[in-house]
This record gives sequence, C-alpha cells and structure tokens, in this order.
Amino acid sequence: MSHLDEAKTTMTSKEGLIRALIALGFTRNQIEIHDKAQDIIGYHNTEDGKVGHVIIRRQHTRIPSDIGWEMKDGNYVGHVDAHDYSTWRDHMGATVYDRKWSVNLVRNYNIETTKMHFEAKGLKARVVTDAKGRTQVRAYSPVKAKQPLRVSI
Amino acid sequence: MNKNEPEIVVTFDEDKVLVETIGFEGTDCIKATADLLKALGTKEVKRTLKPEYHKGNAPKQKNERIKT
Repeated sequence: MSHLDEAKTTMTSKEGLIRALIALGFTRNQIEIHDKAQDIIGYHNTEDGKVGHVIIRRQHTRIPSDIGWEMKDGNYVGHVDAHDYSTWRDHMGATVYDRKWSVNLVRNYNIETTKMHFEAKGLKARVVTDAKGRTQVRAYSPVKAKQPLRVSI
Repeated sequence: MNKNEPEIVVTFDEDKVLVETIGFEGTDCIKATADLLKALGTKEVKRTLKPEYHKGNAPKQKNERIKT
C-alpha cells in the first residue's frame, strides 16, 4: 500500500445523484431534472419556499410531500421531509427519509460516482464486499508498477 | 488480472470513503487518486502515507490533512 485517504464527500454530480436514487429503488422516469429550480411541494400541498433541480414528486415518494435537491454553491443540497409518517393511518409503511436514509443515499452516490469515474478513465472496476460487509470498488491503474509487488502469505 | 499491477481500492463506510492505493511507489499513488477525490467532491482528506511512498524520489512527508 502506498497511501490511504479518508474523506467525506459532497454531492456535485447530477448523474451520480440520479444513479444513487435509482439504487435506492426509484426509476429514472420518476426523477424530474430541471435546469431552473422548481418548487418542492410539501405536506398539505404547501409551497414553503424550497426549490430543487432534482425532484421526486409525492406520488412516488410514499410520503405526503415531494423530496428534492437544490444545486447550491456547486453542491446538491437535499430538501427532504424527514418526518416519520409510517404509522399514520393514510401512510402505513411509508418510507422514512431520516438520517439513516440520507447516509445511505450518500453512500450510494459515492459508489455510483466512483464507478462512473473509473469507467470514464477506461479502468476495469469490480464491486466486492469486504470482511466487514462494506462495499468496495477495486480498479487496476494504468500506471505500471516499478517493481513486482511483494506478496506475504 | 495481473497481481503486480497497481490497484486502487475504494471502500464505502457509511457516508465516508476510504481510498487505498496498492503497489505504487513514490508519488504515482497520489496522481492516481487525485481526480477521483475531486470527482467525489471531497473538501478535506486525512492522508496516511505508507513506507512505499518514500521509495523512488518522493519527498519525505508526514501524514497530514489536505484541502482538496
């Protein structure tokens, strides 16, 4: 190993965000993409000033409001109603867009963006699961090793 | 797949990414991952350098936090 980097990321790629939402179960045609930000409709059909460039309307969110992401200062910022509607009579079993869901979205964004990056570089990437159950993307670099690796068993 | 080829391994741990390079010498490992870190929109990176990094002509550096 030559070095190890540990970092938190920000969502800057529209396609990465779309692929992450698809990985979480939405279909591409449920995801609205806008060059100019559009209103996000909240509970009780209200507009509370929040807008998004990437929006999923409430007929697809399984909660009584839209969810969306606004491109702001180069990053996609989420406007997601995190209220737990899952036990409400009219919304039994609704998806809960809580912190756990948001972390899962970011994790899928990171996976999809990494796969797109390696594809764009022409590298063969494979997706595996490590011993701790975490997803890994492994790619071989076009930079040649100067010496064969020492393999310890 | 050649085991002697340098490899980039990206591990996804909740909302963090861990980017390891394997089989590089010197500063090639940094070049190989710089674009990926940019594509992932990282703002600050906690970097740990391994002994192989100092082979070749790489300058001596301590582990550090890097603004990307």
